Amino acid sequence: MYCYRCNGTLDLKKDTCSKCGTDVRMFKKIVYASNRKYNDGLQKAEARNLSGAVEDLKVSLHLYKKNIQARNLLGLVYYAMGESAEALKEWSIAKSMSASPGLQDRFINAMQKNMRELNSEANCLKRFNQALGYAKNNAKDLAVIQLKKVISTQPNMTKAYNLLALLYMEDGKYDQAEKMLAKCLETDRGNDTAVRYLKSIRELDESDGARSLGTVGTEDREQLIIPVRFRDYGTYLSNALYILLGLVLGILIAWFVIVPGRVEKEMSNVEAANRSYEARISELQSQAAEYSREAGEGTEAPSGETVDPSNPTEDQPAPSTDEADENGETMPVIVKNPDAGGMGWAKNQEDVEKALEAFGATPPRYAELIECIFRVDQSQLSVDNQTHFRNLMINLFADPTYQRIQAVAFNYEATENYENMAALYDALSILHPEVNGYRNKAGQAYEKLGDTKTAANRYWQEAILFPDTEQGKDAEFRYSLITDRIYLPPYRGTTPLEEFKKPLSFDEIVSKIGGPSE
Amino acid sequence: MIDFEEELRKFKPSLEIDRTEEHEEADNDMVDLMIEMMSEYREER
Repeated sequence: MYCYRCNGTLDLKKDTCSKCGTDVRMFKKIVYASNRKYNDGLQKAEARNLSGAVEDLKVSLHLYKKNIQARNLLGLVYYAMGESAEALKEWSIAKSMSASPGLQDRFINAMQKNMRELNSEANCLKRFNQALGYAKNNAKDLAVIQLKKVISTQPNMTKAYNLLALLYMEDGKYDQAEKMLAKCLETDRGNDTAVRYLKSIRELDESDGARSLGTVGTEDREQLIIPVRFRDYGTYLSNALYILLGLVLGILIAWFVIVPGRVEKEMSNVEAANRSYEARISELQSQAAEYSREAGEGTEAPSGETVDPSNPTEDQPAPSTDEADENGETMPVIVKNPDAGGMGWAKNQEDVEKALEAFGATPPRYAELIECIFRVDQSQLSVDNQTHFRNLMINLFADPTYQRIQAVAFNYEATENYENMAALYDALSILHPEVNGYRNKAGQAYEKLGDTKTAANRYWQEAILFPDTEQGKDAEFRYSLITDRIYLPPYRGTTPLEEFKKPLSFDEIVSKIGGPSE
Repeated sequence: MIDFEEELRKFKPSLEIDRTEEHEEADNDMVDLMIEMMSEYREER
């Protein structure tokens, strides 16, 4: 101990300075008190109660600022708390007060030697001050970021932990605040601030669900519970709910908007296809129905269109009769049948065989078959051939729809085999005069073959016999085109037109085929 | 009950290292006070 006046060494047993005689009783009491505080501080520092040590040491220095030991220890405690600048300050003061080098010099030298660490510590302090500024300016997020950097660099800075804990608590993140406070208390067990914060958190835990709901704050002296955790859960739940809702909405939109549109489009395509099929079916059915009715061959034409067996018009081939030639060989007898539409006839048993052969071919040669049939005069056939002929007729023509014949006729038309097509349709018009369309088709075939006169005759027959049908109107149109006539010549015969459309029985058909000429 | 604003006010900025030279003088202590009081006493006398 030195005299405060002359700086002389004091005798601790005397109350005055032996050098200057100053009464040092009060001075000694102050110094003793300072030393006691230093001891307390030292004790606390040893117990890692750094905050308590700081308080005691400050008191010690307030009592006696030249207590170098206290100042050095204070510096050390500050350094342990991460307050490097405060530590440096205390050591610098101690150095300036001390006459001889001491601990303070060693501490200062140690700090100054490691410049990198010194700079890092300096940056941490600056960052802490920056974070504090952010927090006070309500930029809590930035403050948190800075404080995290501070504690990562300076893990013993208790102030940073406390401030960060405070910010977490304000944000309702009590668990993280507890962690920060726990770390703070590892460094400084007696940190009053950390203890207080921790106590506050635990009080919130103990309160009735307050913490489960949120942070407790005060406003106008009223306790408010700010739901925070609920908000956290709600955020996750709401996000999940929104996603689910979006999915459901998307599915519903797809189901009620997009899918019906596509279904409707597909249905319309299907319906269009159905309609086209139905049209085709109805067309075929109408043709089949028409073919199944009897139609008379308009053999009696009006003026200019008469069919006179003896005076044939240019539309009708001239009938002729068979005559045996001078050598006695039979010639095919071409028998004019008024219903034949101009086809020739022949009486010849060979025709039956040819017809049978043509029918049995694969595929059947219908044109040849028909031609042979119509040449046959049954009265000239043998008994066996008559049977064959009748059976052939049954096979071919007993079916009232004549589907086979019609199918063949369609095929001939499709393959542009107009000769066979004409022969078949002529045959059908003979066999089923009640059916409309055969004559029209025959006319089309003849027109394709270039036989416009025969074609015109067939069109006229169709139009006269079936004026109200589609086939009849079509035939009339084709007649006007082919003849350049703007009107259809009327029928002037005496036989009623219906007579020409009477359906024939099978026997009548058979009898007509190969029958004698008129 | 922790009042955030109040607690925040308690936090003071840390002394930065490059500013330690500005604070290298110790504050007055009790001894200084005592000396001052004694001086005043003597003057009064």
